[in-house]
Amino acid sequence: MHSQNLEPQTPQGRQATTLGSLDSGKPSVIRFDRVDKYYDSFHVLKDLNLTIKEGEVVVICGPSGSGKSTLIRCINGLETFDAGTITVLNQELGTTTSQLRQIRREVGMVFQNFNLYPHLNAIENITLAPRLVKGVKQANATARAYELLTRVGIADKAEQYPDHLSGGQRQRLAIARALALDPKVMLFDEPTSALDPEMISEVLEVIIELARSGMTMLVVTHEMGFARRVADRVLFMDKGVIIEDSPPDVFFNNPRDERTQRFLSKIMSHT
Amino acid sequence: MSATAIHAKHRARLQQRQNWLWRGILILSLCTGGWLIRDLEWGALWPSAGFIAKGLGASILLSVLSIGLGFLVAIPMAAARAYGARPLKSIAVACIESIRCTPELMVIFWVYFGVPRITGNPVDGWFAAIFSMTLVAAAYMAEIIRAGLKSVNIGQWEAGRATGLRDIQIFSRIILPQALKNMLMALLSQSVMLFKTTSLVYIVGVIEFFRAMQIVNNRVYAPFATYALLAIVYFICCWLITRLEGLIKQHRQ
Repeated sequence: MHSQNLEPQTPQGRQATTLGSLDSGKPSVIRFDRVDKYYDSFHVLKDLNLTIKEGEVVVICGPSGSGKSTLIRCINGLETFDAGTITVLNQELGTTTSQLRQIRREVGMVFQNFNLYPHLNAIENITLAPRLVKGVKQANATARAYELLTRVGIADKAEQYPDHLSGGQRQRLAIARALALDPKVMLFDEPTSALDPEMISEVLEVIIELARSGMTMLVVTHEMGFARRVADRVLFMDKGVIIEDSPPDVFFNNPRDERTQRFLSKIMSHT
Repeated sequence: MSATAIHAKHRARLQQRQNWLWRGILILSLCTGGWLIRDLEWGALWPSAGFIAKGLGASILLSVLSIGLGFLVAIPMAAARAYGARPLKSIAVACIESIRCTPELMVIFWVYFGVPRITGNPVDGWFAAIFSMTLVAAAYMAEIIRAGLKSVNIGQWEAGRATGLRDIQIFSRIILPQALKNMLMALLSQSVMLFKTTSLVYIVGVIEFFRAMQIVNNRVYAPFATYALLAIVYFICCWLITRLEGLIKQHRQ
């Protein structure tokens, strides 16, 4: 189901963004229009508007309870929302389950707690979805899985089970698993928050390489060094509202809002 | 060799010596036990050995069938109760609880007398035995499996859904295997209980092991030998079931 084309068209026929920022000509991949979400009576997303274009790397940070995880979980339907529309890859969320499954094939997600399948080894973890969802043959799926394992740097652990891997290796396996379906968008929900400090950089390197290869990414994280290196935009969320949305040099050196400054000073003080 | 390696080797040798010690004690106990029961009237039982063996075969067959079929039936029942919408869940609860809260003997009676009323044809003892024992096995195992399903981290569902898998695929490929692995010991314990419960089917005329021993005892009057043999055979069967856990784990690797 295609979303209604309400925005003014540029001469080339591409949609202009709703935020009025400079149109780079890239299509919009994710769009939140006046989205509200409640957990019972708690208003977790308040009239949220957001547009993410193809190839953008967007980092979201903010205090806990601000709604950042909820925001990205709404994109692939792991959370429902109560008002507004969310459009992912030109499809409006919320019509049918099969449509939702279609969207989930194009959107990969990496979780804070990895959520690897403990009863399957690394290769099987990666090949399960391509085989069952896309009908890829076992041999092709395994070959592709080896490619992905090499890309994330754990090709030697192909036959290992997740409980034999270190935290950093597990998260890299989770990234490889999410890439197995060739998604157009990757969502990262605090990918390094559950890792020991010495393993954070190996995972961030993989995510940075992925970003540089042109993947559209939305990353919820507190790793500000990572954001500085690779983000196109950094968002600060608080109490369900996006307070700040700027490129990294503006965000870190000259944030517009005072709440952003306070948050930054709190997390920068002990890095 | 390093100090830790020497220490480990020393400890391994101690452990080995301990193992032999326990094996020795076990063999000594078995010999003592054997010597103590040598005076029992085994000679009286020997002529009926074939009949007793047939009874044991019937018990084992009945148990294997009812546990196997019950397990297969239990999985959808557990899923219905764990994940079903209100109407389906209520049906599952009704089925499970009505069997669990009824004495097994009554379940056997209900099947034996109830099924003919519905179908119009009488049922024979074996059919009633298998059907009722399967129902009992299914009801108890369904609850164990349901606990197993709940014990699987919800993140597994999320990971499956995030990659576009259907719920039924997630359930069968990801959730159920983990649930069964978590509940393996509980399921085997339940199997031991079910094996012992099958002795109740004598009430509908099936000659299984316990009933066979009773018949032999009534004929030759050798109670001590009879019940000693009964205890030994039941113990061996139940013990073997619990050893299955090691076998299943090995098969997985």
